[in-house]
Amino acid sequence: MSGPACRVSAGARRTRVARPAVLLPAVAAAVLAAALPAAAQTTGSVRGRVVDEETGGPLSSATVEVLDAGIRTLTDDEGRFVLAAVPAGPRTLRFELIGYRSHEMEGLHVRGGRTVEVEVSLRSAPVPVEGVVAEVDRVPLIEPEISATHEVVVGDELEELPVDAIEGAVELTPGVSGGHFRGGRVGQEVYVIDGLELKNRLEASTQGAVMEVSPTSLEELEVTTGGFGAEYGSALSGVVSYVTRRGNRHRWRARASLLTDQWAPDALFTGFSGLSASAGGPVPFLGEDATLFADVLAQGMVDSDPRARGLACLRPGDVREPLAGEIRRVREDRALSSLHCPYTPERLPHQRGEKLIGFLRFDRSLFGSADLTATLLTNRVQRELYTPEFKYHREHQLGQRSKGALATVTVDWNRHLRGSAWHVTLRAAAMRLDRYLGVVDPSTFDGRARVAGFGLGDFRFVGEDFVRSPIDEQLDAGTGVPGYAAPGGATGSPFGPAAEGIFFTEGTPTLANRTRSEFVGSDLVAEYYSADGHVVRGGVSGKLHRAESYERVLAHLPGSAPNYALFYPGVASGFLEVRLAALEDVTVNLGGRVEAFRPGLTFRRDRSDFLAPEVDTDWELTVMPRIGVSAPVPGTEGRTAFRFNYGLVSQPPDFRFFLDTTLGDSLRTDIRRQGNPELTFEEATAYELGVSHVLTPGLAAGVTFFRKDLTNLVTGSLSFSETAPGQFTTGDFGTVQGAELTLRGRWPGLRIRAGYALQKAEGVASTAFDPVDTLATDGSSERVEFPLAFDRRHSADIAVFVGRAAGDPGWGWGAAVTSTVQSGFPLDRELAAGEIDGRLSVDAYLPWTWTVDVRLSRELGTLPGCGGCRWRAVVDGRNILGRENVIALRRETGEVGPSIARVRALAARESGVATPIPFESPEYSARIDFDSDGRITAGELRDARFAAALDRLDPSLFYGEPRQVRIGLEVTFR
Amino acid sequence: MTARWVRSWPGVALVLLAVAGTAAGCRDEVDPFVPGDPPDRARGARWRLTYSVEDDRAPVWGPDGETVYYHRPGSGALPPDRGVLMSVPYRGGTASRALPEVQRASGTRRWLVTPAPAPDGERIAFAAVSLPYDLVPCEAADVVTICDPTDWIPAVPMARKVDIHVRRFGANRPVEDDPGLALPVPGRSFDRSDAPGLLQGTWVVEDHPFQKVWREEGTLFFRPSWSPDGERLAVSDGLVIRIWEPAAGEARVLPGSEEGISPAWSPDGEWIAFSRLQRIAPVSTRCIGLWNGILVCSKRQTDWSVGSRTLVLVRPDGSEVRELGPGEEPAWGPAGETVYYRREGRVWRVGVDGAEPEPIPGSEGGREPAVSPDGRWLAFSRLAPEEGQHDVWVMAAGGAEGAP
Repeated sequence: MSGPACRVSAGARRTRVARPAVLLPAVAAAVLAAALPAAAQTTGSVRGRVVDEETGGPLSSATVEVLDAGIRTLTDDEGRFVLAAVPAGPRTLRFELIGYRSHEMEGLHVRGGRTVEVEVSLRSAPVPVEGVVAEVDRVPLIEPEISATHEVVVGDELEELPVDAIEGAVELTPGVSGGHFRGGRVGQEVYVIDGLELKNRLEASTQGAVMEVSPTSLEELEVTTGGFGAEYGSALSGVVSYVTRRGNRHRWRARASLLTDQWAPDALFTGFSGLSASAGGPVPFLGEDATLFADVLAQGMVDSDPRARGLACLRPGDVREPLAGEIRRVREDRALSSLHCPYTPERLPHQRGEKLIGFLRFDRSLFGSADLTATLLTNRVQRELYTPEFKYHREHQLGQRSKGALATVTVDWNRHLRGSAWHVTLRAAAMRLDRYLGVVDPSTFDGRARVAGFGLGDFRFVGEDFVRSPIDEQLDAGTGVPGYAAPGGATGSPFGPAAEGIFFTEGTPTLANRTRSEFVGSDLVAEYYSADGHVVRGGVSGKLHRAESYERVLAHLPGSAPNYALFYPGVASGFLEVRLAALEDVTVNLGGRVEAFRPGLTFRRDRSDFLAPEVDTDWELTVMPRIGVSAPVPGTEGRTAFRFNYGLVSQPPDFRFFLDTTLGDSLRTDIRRQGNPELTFEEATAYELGVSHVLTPGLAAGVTFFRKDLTNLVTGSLSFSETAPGQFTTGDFGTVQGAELTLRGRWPGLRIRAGYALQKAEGVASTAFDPVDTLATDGSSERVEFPLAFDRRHSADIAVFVGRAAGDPGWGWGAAVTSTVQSGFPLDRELAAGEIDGRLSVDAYLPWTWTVDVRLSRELGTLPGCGGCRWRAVVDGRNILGRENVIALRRETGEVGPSIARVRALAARESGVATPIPFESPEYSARIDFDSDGRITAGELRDARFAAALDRLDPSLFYGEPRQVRIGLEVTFR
Repeated sequence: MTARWVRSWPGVALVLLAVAGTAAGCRDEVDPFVPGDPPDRARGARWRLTYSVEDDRAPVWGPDGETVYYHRPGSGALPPDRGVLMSVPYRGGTASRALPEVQRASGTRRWLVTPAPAPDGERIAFAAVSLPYDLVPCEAADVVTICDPTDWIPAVPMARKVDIHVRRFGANRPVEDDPGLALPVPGRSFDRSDAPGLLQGTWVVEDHPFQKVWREEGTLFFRPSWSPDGERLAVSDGLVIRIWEPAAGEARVLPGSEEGISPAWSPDGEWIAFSRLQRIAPVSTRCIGLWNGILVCSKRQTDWSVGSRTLVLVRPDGSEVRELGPGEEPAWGPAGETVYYRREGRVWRVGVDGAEPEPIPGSEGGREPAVSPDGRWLAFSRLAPEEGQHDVWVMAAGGAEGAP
């Protein structure tokens, strides 16, 4: 680099900084970032000032242009400028003024919804001379202008992380653990893709994210856990914002990688193969400046949910006495011992699965300064679901397939004036998410075409056509779902006839379930930026949903009827927020949000009276003020900054909660069921206070204290006293409070991000006999506080990037090491899903868990035969230290093992097997004819059933991921 | 620094091929649990084929020589029928219903016995036994029975009807639509010419020897046997052998087969072997039944004792009859030169040329012999004395000397 330079001034004051002596005198720039509390946009803005390098005076009418984006403006009389609608990602700014040497600032990383602040000094040049080029760093260590608590991962970093799914990167955010954001229930977060708010409104609390995106399709990932801007609704605990990549306007770039563990020894083999490919570039035949970007991620898995102990069985150490003694007896008995752990492959059986994510983005200029963006995101995730009771069934297993498609069209219009800019965004979107849970048709796997371990076709399900047929036709047919049969069987397992009623080797699972969630929606956001730092944003949004839910838990029974609901909820919102640069260095964000939803259900309030009139649900409305303040601490020269946020946050309940709980409603013939459509918003008041400090030029630390007062939490309630048993209510309340520590380090060839969160989440719950609605505040009824099911006290994460992975091109190799450590959840995790079974006492926590993941890469240079291609070898390891994490426990024991009473009860389950069973009987199994006399006696059957019950209660699913190692190649073309 | 070998095309090709090859799925998916075949219990020269505590009877070989058919009462996972037709590999293994379409697990209350697979292997003949008489004439509550002689002991119910069916394996139509031969079993009739008092007639009960051996020993007198061409069947109604052509629907009496039961057609078609029951010492009884002093019933009954049981050969046209000596339940060796049969509580064999009969070593307790098509093996039912029921066994046709 020669000539004038600019540098990152992380944590620097927004005013002009003192230039170190090492800086060349001609141009200096300070790059800061400021923003509204959070941003839901695919574009950002750049604000700054251009001055004369020698005099320090403002330069008026200088041209500031974002190269390759068609955005330019002029500085005002005070040398200030603002650029809006700048595409996120690394950008190059050009500064020009007659009589001055032009300057290009490369590598300026613009982030969605953020304002990057720069200050540039131009050196006068009496005659035209060649301009100068400067590079800047990307993400500053601390951001004094931002009040939100957030984590940003840029696209290049995402490519280096050892993650299979974007959730893995989200988990590396302090306060996010196991899909829970700051002690929140799964589903209390919202996902934003290129500014479009997406939430699985039907069943977010059980299914999580609505659509999955490929890490390589992202320009940027931002996770916000506190201080949401007013633009964000439908979230109590977190916002995950994705900004997708767009194609380069001048040349095509592409990358492809293939990772597989097919080479791994059997102990490490899980059958994983992952193919990722993306390409982007100009498509001039579709318009001037038109670009296209496409990304595909395909993963095939033999064991799509591998476990640290594989298919495990109970060992004496897993349980207490006297069951431990019984297991020892089985193991040591010469005849019985073959029935202990009779089938334990290293991978779980019946776990085949695949994931396919496709993304396509098209950008082009429309007219004037308007741009058009169209995207299409598709998902297909399908897998078999291992269930211990069907472990020995050779044909029929449960499986799930989720297919989703999201299409968006966005028109961005911007107008730049001297010292100000307008940006208006109009989006329209449509989405369909279809989930099917049922019995996988065995023919799915017959002669199935596979590429790199990835199956090309959709899973087929038994009787799917029938399940998807009109509900009235199904009722008229009066049959069970075709192909379904009562589970049973007395052969086919190691336990022969002793397995009857314990394992199923004939028939099918009985569940047929599908949901479909669709919406069409539109939103309009308008922004005004002034060069002196004020920003005003406002917008409105509306979505019309179609929600369909079908559940048939005894699908084989001809007389059973499905629970079915089809309704059309609506959601509307509006927001206004203002960023005030009221005082020098102090940023104040004021915002307000109005949100409304309508379930779209008609129902009978008194369901015991079928003659009662039907009632329409009304719109529910909530208003949420939000305030954020951030500023550098005076006297610290920008090395220390604080921030404070206060706001109300809320979200409509899952549409699923409008429907009945699953308690006792399976055989109802009233198919247009409803649960509690009168649920209102779940709400919280959130406070947080944070301080960030730059310890050394390469190291910064921060601490954030937060508290959320939760009200109207949705919980399942067995309300016996009223007319509607098994309803969800919004009657619970609680608090989440805690502190988060963060550490950021950046040195040549090394970057570190680390965080630790300490939190406590407690609540008061309704119970079967004393729903919280009836809890008196006068002390006549005792309130019971207990840890909320998502109360994880400790969590820590660290990500270390070394060498090329840290963005240093001088290294031939790179490494990214990540680790997460967390304490366990309270034992009764199902409370989080609102399924209280009448118990309130939660007296145990799951054990601590931790993993270490590593991704190593070695550059191999130019790919022979392709001059523009580079390739590298990659080794990707998960849980490389082989930690056996326990992620679930049995309720009745607080351990992975059951109680002896449970085992005996299972063994004593009526089997219908008559003894003695002769050798020639199809039920006969030599394995349980312990004396080999050709007959299985009642005593032999009894012993074998005990062993079968032990095997049935295998703890496989109680363990986390195993150690995995993948090896692959990655090719990039630029 | 880039290694030199990767700069060369062969190295690149090797790496790419390795990646593509392995990723294409060289490694298998997780194998599901396979229960495996039952252990082979066929050891030595004799082995037990069935172990049920039920009465496993009438073993007969399938024409392939691999399968043994038999019948047993249903229990456990089988339909709760009084007789279920079964098949089992001759070396041991899982037995299954021979006609699952007919005898469903849900229960059909059929009483199917004496399977006889046709030589073509596509059909099977069997007997459907009707339930015995549920009432003995003149024996009822509140009825005072007076008999002459007075020491007469009432008879137990007797067989009354047997239907012989021929059915194609795997057929789905009702059994009643299959070719069938109804065999009314002699033993009870109503004589209207003998009408004492105001009664309409007199019950005539004849307790023939075949009824006795069926009732007391379970002898399957009606057992069908195929002619080698698969066109005809030899069956017995207890008093005579009949030749039935299922295609024609006709049954004719076989001359010379009087008192013949349990026929067996020789493989060469030249002979039909059967056992002849000698009837001796008839006892006639007359009884009347009174209810409140009113005559309500009249019965004449004749009981015969079973004398000798003789093994007899007869030509299918009845032109020649040859006695082979004491014996019953005959079965043919594959060449048609030897007859295996039951005698003195074990299996014997004798040549049709008049050779000396010889007992089969190791067949003690055996009856209902059946010889495999290759002549190597002998299937038979054998009484388990401790259980009082029969199991099916297989042994070398020449005998299993010293077998336990």
